[in-house]
Order: sequence, then C-alpha cells, then structure tokens
Amino acid sequence: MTSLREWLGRLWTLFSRRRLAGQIEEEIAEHIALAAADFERSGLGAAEARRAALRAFGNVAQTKERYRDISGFPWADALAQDLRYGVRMARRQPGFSAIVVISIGLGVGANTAIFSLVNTVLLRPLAYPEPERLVVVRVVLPAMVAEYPSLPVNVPAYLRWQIEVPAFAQLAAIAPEEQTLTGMGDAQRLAVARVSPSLFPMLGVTTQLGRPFVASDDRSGHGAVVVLSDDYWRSRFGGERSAIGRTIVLDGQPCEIIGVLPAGFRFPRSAQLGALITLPDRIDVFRPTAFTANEQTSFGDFGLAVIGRLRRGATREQALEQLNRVQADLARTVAQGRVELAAAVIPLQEQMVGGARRGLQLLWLSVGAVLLVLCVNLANLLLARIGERGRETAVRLALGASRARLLRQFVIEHLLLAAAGGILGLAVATVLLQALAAGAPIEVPRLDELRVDGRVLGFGLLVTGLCGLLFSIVPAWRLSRQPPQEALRASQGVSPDSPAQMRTRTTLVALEVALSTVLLVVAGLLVTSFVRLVGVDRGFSVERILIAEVQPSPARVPDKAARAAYYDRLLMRVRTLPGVDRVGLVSHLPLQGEAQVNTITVEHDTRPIAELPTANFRFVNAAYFEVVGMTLRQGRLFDESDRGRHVVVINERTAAALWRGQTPLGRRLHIGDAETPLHEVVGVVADTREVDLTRPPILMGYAPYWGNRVPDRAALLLATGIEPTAMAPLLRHAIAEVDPTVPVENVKTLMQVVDKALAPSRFQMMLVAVFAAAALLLASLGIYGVPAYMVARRRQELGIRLALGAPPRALVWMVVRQGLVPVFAGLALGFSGALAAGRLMATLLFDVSPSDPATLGLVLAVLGSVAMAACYIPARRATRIDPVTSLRLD
Amino acid sequence: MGDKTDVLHGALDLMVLRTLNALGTLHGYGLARRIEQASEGMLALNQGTLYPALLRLEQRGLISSKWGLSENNRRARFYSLTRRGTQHLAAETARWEQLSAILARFLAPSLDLP
Repeated sequence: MTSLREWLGRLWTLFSRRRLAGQIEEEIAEHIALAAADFERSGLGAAEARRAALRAFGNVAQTKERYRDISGFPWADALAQDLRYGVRMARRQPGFSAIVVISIGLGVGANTAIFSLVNTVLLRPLAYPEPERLVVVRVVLPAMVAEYPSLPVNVPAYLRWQIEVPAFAQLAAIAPEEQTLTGMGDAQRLAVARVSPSLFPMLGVTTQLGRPFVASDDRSGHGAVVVLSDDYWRSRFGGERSAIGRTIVLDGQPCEIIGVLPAGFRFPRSAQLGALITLPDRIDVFRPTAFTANEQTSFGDFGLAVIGRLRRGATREQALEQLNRVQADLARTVAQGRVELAAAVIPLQEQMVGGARRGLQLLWLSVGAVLLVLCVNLANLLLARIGERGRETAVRLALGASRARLLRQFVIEHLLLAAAGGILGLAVATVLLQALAAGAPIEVPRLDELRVDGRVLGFGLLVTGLCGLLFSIVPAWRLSRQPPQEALRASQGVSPDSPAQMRTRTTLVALEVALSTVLLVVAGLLVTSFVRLVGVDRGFSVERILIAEVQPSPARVPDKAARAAYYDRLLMRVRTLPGVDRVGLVSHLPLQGEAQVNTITVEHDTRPIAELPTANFRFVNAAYFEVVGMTLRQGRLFDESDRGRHVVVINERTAAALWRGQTPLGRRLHIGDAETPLHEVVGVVADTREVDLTRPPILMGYAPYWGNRVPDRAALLLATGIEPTAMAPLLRHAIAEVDPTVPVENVKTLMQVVDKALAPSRFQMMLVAVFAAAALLLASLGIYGVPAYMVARRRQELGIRLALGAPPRALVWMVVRQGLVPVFAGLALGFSGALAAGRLMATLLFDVSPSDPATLGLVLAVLGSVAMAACYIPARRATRIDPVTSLRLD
Repeated sequence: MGDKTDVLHGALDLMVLRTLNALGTLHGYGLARRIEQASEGMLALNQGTLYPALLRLEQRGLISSKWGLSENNRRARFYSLTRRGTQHLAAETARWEQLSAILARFLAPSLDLP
C-alpha cells in the first residue's frame, strides 16, 4: 500500500522529527489565535473567544500525538520501544545479562581472532600486483617423485625457460646464499639473495632510493652491485642517503650499493617457495644472479627458487606444457636420455599458504563449534528462565499482544545483549591478535600481515547477530507457544514445564554433548599425537648440549684446507673450556629440515643419476656422534688417523638401501656423481630423526669435516657437565679468541632447538585443547541443568515418594536416568561426527589413527564421568528433600 | 482502526484537495473554516484532525507547504496543491462520485436488501 514516495516522505519527516514537532506547535498555536480572533470579531470576550477556538479545534494533545505517529514509521517506533524495553530488562537482571555479554564476548572474540588469521593467510590475496598470475616453477624428476614431489630449479633449465616459454610474461630466479661482510668493523654474516632483475618489477616493488637492478647487472661477471633492504640500510647505514654509491665487501668481493628497497616490501620466505630451499626469514642484501659460466652449465645443481608471472590470457596448463617441452629436450640432449625431466607450476598463493590450510581450518572449525555450544547453552539457560516470564507473557497475550510482536520483542531484547557481547568480542579479538602477532610459536605464513580489516569486522558482526538469533529464537518460540491460561494458573508466577519444553531442552543438551564430543576427540587425537611426537625415538639425545653456529669469512679462510685448519683450531680451543666434556662439530644443525642432499653413486654403479638413491649428508667430527649419543651399529667411527683418506659413516637406512643384507663395511661410494672421490664406508650408525621429527628416519651419510668437502659454516655442540646456558659467554669468548672476525650466531641449547621444532604442534594442540575444555565445561552445565530443573519442578512429587517410603537409590536413579538421556543421544551423534572430523585431520596427526580406540575410549570415559557427576549432584539433592517442607509449599 | 475512519479519512482528504483546488493557497485555519462553510455547518469537524491529514497528503506529494505570514502578521504554514495533487483530485473525484452513486442506489428506499 505504501508507495515509495510516501515512504521517502516519511523517511524525511522521521529525520526532521524534532523540527516538525516544534513546527506543529507553532502551527496549532497560530490556528487557535486566528480562530480566537474570528470569535472576538463576532462579539465574544477575549477569554471566551479563546475557549471557543480551543473547543472547535478539539483535543490538542491528541492531534499532536496523531501527527507524531504518522510523521515516521510505526515499526521504527516499535523497534525503539523494544530496544528501550530490552535495556530495561537487561538492567533488571544484571547477573544474567553479564553472563550473556561476557560469554558471547569471549566466543565472538576468539572466533573473530581466528577468522582474521584465516582471512589474512587463506582469503586475502597476496600483497603483490595481480597475484593470481604469479606462480612458482619447480623441477620434477619423475624417478624421485616418491621422495621429493618437486625440486628447486637448476640454472641451465632456468636460462632456457626464460627464452623458450612464451606463456610467462616474466620469469625470475632467487638463489639464497649467506655471505660475509668484511671491512666494516666486525665481520658480519649477511643473508643475501641473488635475484633476477625482473623479480622486483614482478613483485611490484622498486627502490625507495637509488635504482633497482637492470638487465646489464645480471650479465656474468657484472654482479658487483647490491640493493639493501630497508631494515639493513637503517641499522647499518643509519638511513643515510649517502649509502648509495658506497662500496661494501661481500665474500671478499667489493660491491657498489645502488639502491634501497622500501620498508613495506615483503619478500617470500623460504618455506613459502617450496621444499629444499633455505632462505633466512629476513634478507639483508640483494645481488643480481649474474650466473658464472660454471653455474650456467652445472646441470646437477638444483638450488634456484623460480617465480613466474603468466602472460595475460595464458594458463598454467600452457606454461606447464611449454616448460615440459624444454625439459624433455634437456633430458634428451644434456642428460643424453639418462634421466627423465619435467616441471611443476604452482600458484604462488597456494605454495605460500597451502601447508597451513588444514591446521587453520581445524582451528576455525573448533572455535566455531565452541561458539555453537555456547549459544546452545545460553538458549538452555534462557529456556529455564522463560518459566519466570510465563505470567508476564500470558498477561500480555491476554491483553491482545500478537505472538509475532512478543516473539520479536523477545529476540530484540537478546540481540541487544548479543550486540554488547559483540563489542566486547572485538576488544577481545584485538587483544588476542596482538598476542598472536607478537610471536605465537606457530608456523603460519604471512603472519606479519595480520590485521583487522572490513571483512573481519563484517565477520564479527555476522557472528554476533547469528549468536543473538541462535540463542534466543528457540526460547522465544517456546515462550510464545505457551498456553496463557496455564501460566496464569501456575503458582509463584512460574509456569510449569510442558513436555514439549522438556523435549526442546533435551534436544539442545544432546546437541551440546555431540559438539563437545567431536571437539574432545579432535583435541584428544592432537594431544596423543603430540605426546607420541615428544616421546618418539629421536635416535639422538639433547640433554646438556650447548650449540653455536660459526661461519668463517672466506676472505680469511679462502680454501678448504684453511677452513679445515680453522675448525681444528676452534675445536682445540673450545675443548679446553672448563666443564666441557666433548665438542662436536656438524655442518647443519638437527631438525632444520633437509639440506646437503646428494645422490650416492656406489662404486661401479652405472645407473642414470635419477635412479640413484639420495641421502642427506652431514660433515662432522667423530665427537659429534658421541655428543648427540648416536649408537654405532657396525664398524667404527672415523678418527684422526683417517686424515688423508676419504671415509664415510652411513646410517642403517642407507646401508639397507645400498647393500641390503650384505655388509657395507669396506665398500666405496661417491657423494654425488662418479666424478667425485670414492669414500670408504667405515661404520654404520643407528637411524635418527635428525632431519625432521615427524618423519621416519631417512637416508643419512656422515663424512669428516676435514675431508673432500669442508663446510663453509658449522655448528659446535658442547656436551657440558653443568647447565649449558651458563657456558654461553665462555664459548663466545673462546670463539672470538680463535678469530675475532667470525660471527657467532644461535647460541642456545639443543633442547631449545627441539622445543622450537615442536612448538607449532604444541601451540595447535593447546588451542584446540582449550577449546575442547571450554566446550566440555559448557556442556556439563547444560547436562546438569536438565535433572536439576526437574528436581526443582517435581519437589513435591519427590517429597511424597520419599514420605511413602521410596528408597533414595530409586529416586537417584530416576533423576540420573532422565539426565543421561540427552547425553547418550549426544555421544552417539558426536562419535559419528568425530570419525568424519578425524579423517579430515589425518594429515595433522603423528603416529595416531583418526579412530584411535584409546583416545575415543578416554573421551567416552571423561564425558561419561562428567555427565554422571553433573546428573548425580541434583539427584542427591532429590533424596535430601524434606517431605514436610516440600508439601508445605503453596 | 476500523473501516469507518478510513472512509472518513478519504473524504477529508478529498475535501482538502478540492478546497485548495478552488481557492489556491490557504493556511490550516483557513482550510478548516472553508470546509465548515462549504458543508454548511452539517459537518462537525474537529479542526485538529485536519493537521495529521495535511501531513499525510504532503508526504504523498499531493500538496506542498510553505511558511508565510498570516492575517495576524505571524508565521503560519500555507498549503497549496501540487500537480500530482491536481491529477489525484480528478481521479478521486470520479471514483468518489461512482461510489456515492452506487451507495445511493443501495440506500434507495425501494431497494430490497439481500
């Protein structure tokens, strides 16, 4: 009926209401004055004329009221009325309101915080221009797919792709490296990335100062220029513009500073560029790739991260097809058919965040389930309270209020509480986010981009609204269906529970129990999985071991012999420190992932390279095995007398892979291809999880640090008799004594290294466990509510039963039975849900089946005993009822 | 709200529109007086009921109002018909005439009511 025009007219008057109210006063006053003047003209006295004028006008107040009614929207007035009523009700029951506001605040806060994590990591596009066109390109060796689905790229392949793959608008390589800066005070180890000049434009960044790389910088032999990161420029050059044009010495080579990157630039991290690429979290200095002639032909060295931008309109499939054509050609020509080669094209976003997806989804679902339990619990609480409002409702219904209006008023009243909770929730979310960003031990890519944006606010709002509706709609419906005459008849203004109402409560509690069961199972699986991970046979020990990483400057120790001599001196000096039992040296710390991966070519093995086994090699001293407690299985460890010979120790997996069932001792192998020296196997050590705790032991080989390959950096491991951290200053001092220019990093205990490796699992487990505990607590309140309410309602009946001699045990059983009905229903539903959830989270579990009977049994026991306790408390109360007082009620 | 007031509403609206159509611009009191005169005292109008009707007509865009000076030299609101109002009046007059013709036939003494 109401036309748009009238609606707009009303909208206008609604907003100009206050002004209109004044105007109608004035208009009426003038009307009456004019009328009075007319009456006076017709001969009446002034006072009488005014009275006559007022009489003719009618009821002034009513006119104003009618005028006000139509100058706006009746529903807006009703809404305002409902809101005012809601505020009044909320103030009248501060305890209940506080419970609702605080619990919704916490629930919404946790949900919003987790959502902003999900939003930042999974939903928001990467902060690069047209990120959907960016892809990571990797090499695939079909013969090795089982071990390594894809590998970093080798330089010859990259160079040909650049020319022969038209599907890419640009292609850029990143070669991570560490180089030592000298000539500016103490030697300093810098995180250097050699990058193609096309990388910066591809990622939409240019220098804030100076110039970026150009194509000519990238030519072989021209790479002596550097671009600094903003952080490094500020810390090392104090943000001076004069840094441009200065020369720094990197690994003995003078390089000119040509530019500085802007502060906000986010360089992808190594884990985000794919397996087997090690890139420090923060890059200090960028250099052009400027591949040397040697690198350009080094076919077997897979070390580049490659990012490409697809040409507009080109698809990933096209790019892959063109890449594979080049790969096939390379396999035919360069590798002479000895190896099969392919490529993989992965969207950059997928590569960067794919690994975190499952874990985040799990967190998101868990926190959502807690909120749902919370809403159900509030609904239950509210359902118990509507009895108290039965009489009020009945009176209003009897006076002609429509059920719809009552329903709406009830829902609005509680939406108001939810809104207050939502505001609290935003504050909670902000605090939680700060805590998360300030260093949650969680392996989450893009955590530095974490912030609350419009989408997060919208989500918070949506969740709050849904909460308000969820917890109030069922009670509101029940309330409005109550027959008014019963409520009016009931004593104390409290209406009795109808069977329908009891059924609703039972259903809600069953739902709560089901959700809590799922959460408890998920948390239980994560806890079991974590306990197994901590308790897993690592194969090495970590107690009382202090570590420190050193990297001698290539300028001081230019070749293998000099490096080995430096390590000799260092070990000799550190061994003399008081309290130090043994000093181990290793080229790569445990639990840092795979590194120094080489193929193993057994003597006289002529198979193509791709069919050869690969192993992680570590370059160590003999004491290393003893310090970390590795067990020797066969043969011996190498010692000083082996200097001058090429020897190697392998682990059992390697021995089994190479010479299953035969003795490996005395056999010889190449670390790498057949061009490298042959190493004699002198010993076999037990398998360890030294590379990755979550994976079963892999093939390992250990060669002496003074052999054919001398690592350019190494970690010292000190087995100490005392608390290892107390040794740290002494160790630093000793290292400086041997060579003050060598930077010392990561001085900590091996235990801390293990802790860091476990931190993400622990964090995830703790979060989900907290969620599950919250759900269990809420559910136990819900379970308790059903029998407790029943006892309160049926006091009289129970009293009579007792008086007539019913055994207390029978009463207890009666009450408990009723309380357990929803628990059983919920458990059945929950376990089937948990089995489904378990399958989804299988990849997050370590050594636990998603249907692990011990975990499921434990959850059943915990929930069962909590439910029994929750039902038993009111049941006992039933047996203590004094029949006399219970009958005296009313 | 019953049907009676609705009919009455419609009638009052029509009277206002018709009066403004005949006399141009008027303030509230002038309108009330004019309607009373036109009904030759047969309509005992509470003058106050006029104002909600005026607001509604204005919201529908059938009349417009402007502040001006009354005979007393004080501020008063003057109402006048809009073009939409004129069109509406023509349509409503026709409808009303039709309705009253039908009613007249129903209420004729000779008619047998069902």
